[in-house]
Amino acid sequence: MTAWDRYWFGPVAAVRPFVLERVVLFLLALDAWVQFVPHGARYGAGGFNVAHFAWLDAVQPLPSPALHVGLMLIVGGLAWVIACTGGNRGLRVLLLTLYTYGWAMSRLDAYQHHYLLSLLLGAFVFFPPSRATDVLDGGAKQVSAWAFVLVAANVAIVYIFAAATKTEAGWASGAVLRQVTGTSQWFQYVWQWVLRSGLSDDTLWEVVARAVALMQILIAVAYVVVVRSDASRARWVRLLGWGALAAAVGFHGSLLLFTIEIRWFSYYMFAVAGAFFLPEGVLRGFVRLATFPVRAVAQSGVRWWTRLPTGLRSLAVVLSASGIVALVGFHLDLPGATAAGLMCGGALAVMGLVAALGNNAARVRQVAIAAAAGALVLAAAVHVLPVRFQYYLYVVADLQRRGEPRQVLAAYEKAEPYAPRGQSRQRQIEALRSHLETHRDE
Amino acid sequence: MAARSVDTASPPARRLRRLISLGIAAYLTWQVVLPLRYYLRENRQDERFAWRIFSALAIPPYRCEVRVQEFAHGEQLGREVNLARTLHDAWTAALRQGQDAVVRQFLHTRCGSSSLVEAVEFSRLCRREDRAAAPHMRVRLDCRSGDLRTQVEMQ
Repeated sequence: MTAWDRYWFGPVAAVRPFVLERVVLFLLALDAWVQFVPHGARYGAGGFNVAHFAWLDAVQPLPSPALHVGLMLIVGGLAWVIACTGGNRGLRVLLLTLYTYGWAMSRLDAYQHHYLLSLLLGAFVFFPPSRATDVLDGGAKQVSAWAFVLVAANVAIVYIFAAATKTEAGWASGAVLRQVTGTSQWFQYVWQWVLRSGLSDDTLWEVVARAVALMQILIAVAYVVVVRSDASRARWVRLLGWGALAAAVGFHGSLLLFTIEIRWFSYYMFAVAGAFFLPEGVLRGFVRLATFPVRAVAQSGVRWWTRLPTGLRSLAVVLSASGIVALVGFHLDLPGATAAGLMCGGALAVMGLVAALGNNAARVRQVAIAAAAGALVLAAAVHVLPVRFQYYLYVVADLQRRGEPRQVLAAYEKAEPYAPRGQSRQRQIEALRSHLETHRDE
Repeated sequence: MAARSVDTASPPARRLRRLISLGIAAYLTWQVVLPLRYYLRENRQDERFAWRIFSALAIPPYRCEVRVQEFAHGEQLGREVNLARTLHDAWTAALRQGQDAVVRQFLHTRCGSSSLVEAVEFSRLCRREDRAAAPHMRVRLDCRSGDLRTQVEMQ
């Protein structure tokens, strides 16, 4: 093999692509459900939209809250199922397509990491298929995974361009950093403490600004070098990996502490850095720990269940799962959720029927169980977190400017049952009711 | 100490490797060229694929106000469009950032809102706290001819 071939097709620890894919997909599932959904109310408001690509504007209908919310619920469900079961190439392509359409449908979603996630999902289509047991059993398993190496190169490109922007005057002078950190009290405290060393304020800003750029270059270099670390015994490569991990966690962790709206970008970058830079043994330990409950249940073998005929088992599992998925969709009380639940439940039922006729019943049972579990996690997440409350408050915020008081009241009334403790809008509801009562004849 | 067992899946066959290599080279070229276009361009209003972790548009050193006016036939003074009543706040923010595609689309939408509207003009006036020069942008769309004129200057 040539050096090029060795770089792209040489062995990497099988646990790395496994962890990268599964952790990113779990994050994506939760992200879609608790971060994307509340913002769905903006879509189509005022009858105006601009898609990310002009051709998309020409072919798509005006996006609506129901379309966006429903799509994101399905995307989350698909990501969950693939994270749990590994899915197959068809499901991965479907996830890539639906997710990418989710952000591309409107420039309301302008987060660059959503585009990065599409690139990751595209790479996942070509990842070697593997299960937790494959990764854990049989010692240090290695695979040829060019798509995993490509992710490293892709992420390195991201960091190189991010570092390149740091040569601009606004960044190099520390002006951008001053603005970003301006409202952080803890940062001001630490800053004042460092200034006691005698450094001037301007010099310190410049030093920090340049240090961030250097850190990003270090991370970029590490991604393209460390990706081959499983085949290398060089100590400096491992040290570079640790250095890059510390830099990535430090940089992205610090972003979480400032008031910049980047949603879960940092968490995704932690996951990516962990998969590439952590030692193989640590990753295997993580997989062992994370999959312990499922493996324990599988090994305990519910005996009465395994005595049932395969066809009957599949039918029972798939029908129950599709029922649970459809019911959760109905229960969510969000636009598009009922349709999403019915579509996913229906797809599961069809899949069950096909499986009953075919010979991959066990696989379909796994998918059905994962889908039902995902639906229950979604229901729990939406119950525990103020997803619906936020959704309806965004509706209120828009209607207060563009709508009528009666519509605002209706949106408040939708939000109120989901208000977390201490955030009730009952006072506003009473005030609006009283206002509408007074102006009834106008 | 017993050596760990290493099970290595074999790489793809030579011909497939070559095909994949071509795909990788094309993909990486695309990944480099796409953001590079942004950095080589004079107009840096479209940051979407530029991999700026800190957006220059979202964290600018100035504040901008925007207004949109519609002109009927023969009118010198335009009628102000109430953006707060017309657009979702998120789109108004995009206009404040001067996103070209959003500005263009909104002007076209306003042209289509009434047959009486002959032209629509968008203006974005930015001010810095230190009174240094900040961008002033004017975009005028002629609804009949579709002619779009953009003026950007530092004031």
